[in-house]
Amino acid sequence: MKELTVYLLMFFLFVLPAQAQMKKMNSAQEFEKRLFQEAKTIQSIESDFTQVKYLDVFDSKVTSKGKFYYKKSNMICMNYAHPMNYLIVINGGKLKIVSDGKKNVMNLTANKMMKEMQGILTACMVGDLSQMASNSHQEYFEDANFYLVKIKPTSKAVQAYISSMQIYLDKKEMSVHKLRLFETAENYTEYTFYNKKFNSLKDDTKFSVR
Amino acid sequence: MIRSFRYASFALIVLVLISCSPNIGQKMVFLPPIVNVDTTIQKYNIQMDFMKHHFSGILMVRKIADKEIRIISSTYFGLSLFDLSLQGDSLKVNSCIEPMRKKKIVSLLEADFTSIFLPQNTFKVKKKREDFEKRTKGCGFSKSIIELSGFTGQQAECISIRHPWIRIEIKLDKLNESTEMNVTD
Repeated sequence: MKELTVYLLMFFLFVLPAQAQMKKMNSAQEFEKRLFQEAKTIQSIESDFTQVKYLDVFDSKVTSKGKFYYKKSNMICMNYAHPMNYLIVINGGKLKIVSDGKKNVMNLTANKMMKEMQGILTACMVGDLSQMASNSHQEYFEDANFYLVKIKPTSKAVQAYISSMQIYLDKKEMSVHKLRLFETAENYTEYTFYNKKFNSLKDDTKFSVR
Repeated sequence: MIRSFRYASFALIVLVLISCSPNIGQKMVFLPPIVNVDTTIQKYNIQMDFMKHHFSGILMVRKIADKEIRIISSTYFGLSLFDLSLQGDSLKVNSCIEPMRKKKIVSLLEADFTSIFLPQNTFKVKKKREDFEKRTKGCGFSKSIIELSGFTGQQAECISIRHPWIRIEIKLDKLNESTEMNVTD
């Protein structure tokens, strides 16, 4: 019995943390090349998502769920179903938010910072890292199932909202599995994408910003 | 012509004075906090209408020390809007997004959150029914109207604060177990 307890303790102390660890990627160029090739074949993504916001002050988390849609080029729709109905659409230079039946459309092109944020968020959610190469510092890691890209934006304006990002890409299909947006080291929002369908969207109706 | 102009001016002055004079019919009374804040997190859907602009998100509030109430709000997308501490009756800004980092906006939030989370003796109760209550304070640009509905016991679950002259409205709707997906401490 005592031996079993020691074995279990050793397992939880050493084996599990070792499995969770990511190691630095050997060849980032090969990874970038594969990502670029796979991105070329993706015209649209449709998936469910779970969003968890961690708050260190209250030591709590808030979970939301909804549907995520992406269509080339740079059209994004996040349709929240829980805890309440809420819609965010990014299309071209416009951002539409619908909450409680009220529609708010903003022109992002006039605001340099918002335009930059839009570019970063779009790139992160679909894993198009080439869009961020010029305005961020990137580090690459991997384990058996995922690639992890750690990104630090270099723009001071963006840093005011997002200090860093972590993108987990599924090795099999090279799509974003998880995205973490850090506001501070302790406060972050995590988005997990699942039930993904590729190239299933036939038109742009989901992305209307009128 | 001059006489009628004088009468019109006099009538206007009287009207202004009457509208800003204390209403003797409705006395200002001591009112308990609209929301009783304790050490458990209370969550609200918050909507702010400022002129033509509309902001919405989640507001969380909790007592974290004997005299400190922490108020945190974020967009539905997850990005923080503000993190405030109500210490006594003054508001401390822990963090706030740039567009809201203005003295007038902070003062307004201080006045509104004080009205909701602390006991009040500056409001007059204008209407009171079992399921609805209307309170008012001030006049002209400083006029505030609070409307409470969706009562569960003594606590209102729908709170609206309007500043009609400056066209600002803050609405809070409590997120309960039925409306909340999953909020864990």
